[in-house]
Amino acid sequence: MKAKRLAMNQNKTIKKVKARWQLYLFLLLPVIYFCLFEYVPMYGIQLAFKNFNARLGIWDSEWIGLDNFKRFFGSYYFERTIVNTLRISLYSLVVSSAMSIIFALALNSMPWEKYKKIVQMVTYMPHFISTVLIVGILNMLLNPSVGLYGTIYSAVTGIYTPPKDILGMAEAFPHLYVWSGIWQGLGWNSIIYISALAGVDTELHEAARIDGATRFKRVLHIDIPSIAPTIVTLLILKCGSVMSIGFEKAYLMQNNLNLTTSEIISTYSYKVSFSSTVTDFGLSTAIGLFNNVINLILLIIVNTISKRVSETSLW
Amino acid sequence: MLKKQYMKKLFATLVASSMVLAATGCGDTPKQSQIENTAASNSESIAVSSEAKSSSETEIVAEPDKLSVLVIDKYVEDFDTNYYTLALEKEANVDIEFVKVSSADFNQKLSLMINGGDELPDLVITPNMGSAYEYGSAGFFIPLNEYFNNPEAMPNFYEHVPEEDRASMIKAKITEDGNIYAAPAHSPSLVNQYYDSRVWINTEWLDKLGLDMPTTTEELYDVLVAFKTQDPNGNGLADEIPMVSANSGAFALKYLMNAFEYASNRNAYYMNVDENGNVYAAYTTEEWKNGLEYIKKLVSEDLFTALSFTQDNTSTKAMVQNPDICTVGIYGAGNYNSFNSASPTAYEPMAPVTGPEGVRWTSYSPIYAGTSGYLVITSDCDNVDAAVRLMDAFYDRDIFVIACLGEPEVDWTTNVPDGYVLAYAEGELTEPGYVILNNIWGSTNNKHWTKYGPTYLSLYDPLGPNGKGVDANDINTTADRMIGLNAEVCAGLYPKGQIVKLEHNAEDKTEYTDLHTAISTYVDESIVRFVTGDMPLSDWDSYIQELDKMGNDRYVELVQKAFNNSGLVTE
Repeated sequence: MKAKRLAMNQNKTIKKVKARWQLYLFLLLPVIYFCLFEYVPMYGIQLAFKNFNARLGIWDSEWIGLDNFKRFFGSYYFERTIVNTLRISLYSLVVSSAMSIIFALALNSMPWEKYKKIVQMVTYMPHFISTVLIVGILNMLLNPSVGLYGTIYSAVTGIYTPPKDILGMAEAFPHLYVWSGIWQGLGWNSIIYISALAGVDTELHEAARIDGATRFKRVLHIDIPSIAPTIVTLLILKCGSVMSIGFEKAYLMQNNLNLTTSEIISTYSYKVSFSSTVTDFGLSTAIGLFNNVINLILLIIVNTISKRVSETSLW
Repeated sequence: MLKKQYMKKLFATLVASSMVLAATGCGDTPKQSQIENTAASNSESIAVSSEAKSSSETEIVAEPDKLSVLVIDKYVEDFDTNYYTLALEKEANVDIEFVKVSSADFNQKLSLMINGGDELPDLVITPNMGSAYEYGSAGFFIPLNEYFNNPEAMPNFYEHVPEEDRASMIKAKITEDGNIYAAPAHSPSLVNQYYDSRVWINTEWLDKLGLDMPTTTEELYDVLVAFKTQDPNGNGLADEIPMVSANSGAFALKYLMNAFEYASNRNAYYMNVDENGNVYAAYTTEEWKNGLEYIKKLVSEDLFTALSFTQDNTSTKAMVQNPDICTVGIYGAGNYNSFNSASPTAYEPMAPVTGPEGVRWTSYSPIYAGTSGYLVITSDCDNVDAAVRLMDAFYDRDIFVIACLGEPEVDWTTNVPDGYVLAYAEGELTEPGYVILNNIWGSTNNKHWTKYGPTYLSLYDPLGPNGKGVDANDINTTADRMIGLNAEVCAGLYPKGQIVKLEHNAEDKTEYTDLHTAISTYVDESIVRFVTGDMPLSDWDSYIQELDKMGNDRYVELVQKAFNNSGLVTE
């Protein structure tokens, strides 16, 4: 009986697939991509536990157990880099999500279509500027002597001794990092929210308008609840990459004065493993693996919480 | 129904978000797939002519042997038609096929080619490769001992390099396992020995304010105050920057510290050697602390601008080279770069000042064979004889002059006109042996590779410092002359004991690297934090404790060991 039902179910599934085979064909591409570029390279994870020797190859290199991890955990800067990484990451997660949502809501309630499109275009353009240039622009703007900041300062105050150097202040680093990131990514990050907002049922808005709801009230009671699942989903996804902040920007913005807050895991591992002449694949794999394990754990925790509280979850 | 719609929406957002994530590249670790397949072009087989194998070194075989060579694509218009390439090919009777890699990521590319298991080109030529031993001992490069010890295999090397330098070049390239993997280059420069603490002073300002060249730290302080307060550039604004330094402040920091405790060069990393040959860390001494105190005074009174620690070299250069008005009194930089400024000839090298305890050093980099310029023959090379011939051709004198200056009588000449007293050789300014007619150094050209590869330049070479010759169009204001003068005012002011090279035992290397990364980061950071007042000097004891915690004692021990291993001692 049970077997029969199972067989029937299977038949049903096959039928369904056949009916919509085009969609499944589309799905095939990402599946191949993930297998080829995400799963196959995982074979290299074993390097984290090996003393890699290129002559012997990945498979035949000597096992050294947890030595690479011990080196990383035992390093003097371990604690500092973790704290700095989390500080920057969480700060930017919270602020950039909040800003993009507010921006998307504001843009959505704008009546003038043309203006809206222009604003959207202008705000997402900086996304395409390379990190190196962004940091270069920051340096030029904020240089207290030859930069815009210094020039304006001496023009306004008449004092020609350069003011305090913002780029050299350790406490300013997280703000510079996060807010320049927001300037660059605001438009781009809000695209998803804008598209989610576009799908909100217009009947709801009309009904609310007839009932006399103000624009703000409509945003609060219609727009936000409608895109709440999107917001939560994106937040969960972002929690899955808390430990892996891009290395370039922090590295480029570093100097000896702000190192107490700007040394993050990726820059430190670069210094230990890549800037030396011989690339240490074992150590860098170990650090990468560690980051990803933490990311996975965070993802699961946040997802579980969200499932309990808001019934939105990834799986 | 509503639920279904809702799920659809969610699915759509998810797809969109995954696309965005993919587009922005959420993974940060460099993937192997990103490697540009540079080796693909040279996988074709190399014809080995039997004549080449049997030929003795004097006979020239009619048919040139094919060789593939990995080079950095910099400064050269077209490697295949380059004048220097043709000279090399003719001398070695080979036909070179180039595999070009951009200079910025040469080491990573090579590392990925090797680790990725690609077939390597026959030779790799790079200005600097620190990993020859690691790759060589793993079997990727072939040992070159038999060729370098055999005058018949390397006729040019034996003819053009004097025995003494030959011995030191070979010695410098012997690695931990006794093999030589990289062909040595020797390019000693009397002037570049004093690179690390070079500081230039505005003598026009000194004259204008009626001040003498400072000789002590006290006098230096007074001069800086005068620069700041007495408006030496005469525009009525207090816009003078008394002192600034490039390279995160390193040049000036070292210059000032040298009046208290010897601040050694970049390779020795503040590790000093006392009279008994014992290594000690300069940054833990009481004298170092006094030096920090002095520098802090300068920084807090805005005499030595704290900007030096954060701004990049471009900004420092912009300050010094300001074409409208001169605002900089003293600047620390490795090069004389005040050209194009409002006062192009104002700056002169500044001799080290004496500290309160009578200390007066200058950071010194001893002349040492084989720190740069490498050529290796890979184990994928099928025609080693031809590769060795090419390697040897680099040491030919005529070819070397081309490597430095370009085509004879077009780019340079030996018919020196009267009145040239500019080359810095034999410890003083003398007549140059070569005069440049067409200066192509440092720019993209099709005449040479900008002295790249294993080369030999003697200390007293008439080619002058760095083999750059003397420019016919730029008689009395050359940067070379200024750097020569700098060498004169700094000459001999360094402690007897110097770390020249560290040779670590294989088992200590990882430990040393980890300690070095942690400690050097901490010390560099602390210097700047101390002098800017970010960390008060009353925290000195906790700074020392922190260093102890990091394993500074063990670090010094390892450096001592490696120093003893190297067996290199300066007189």
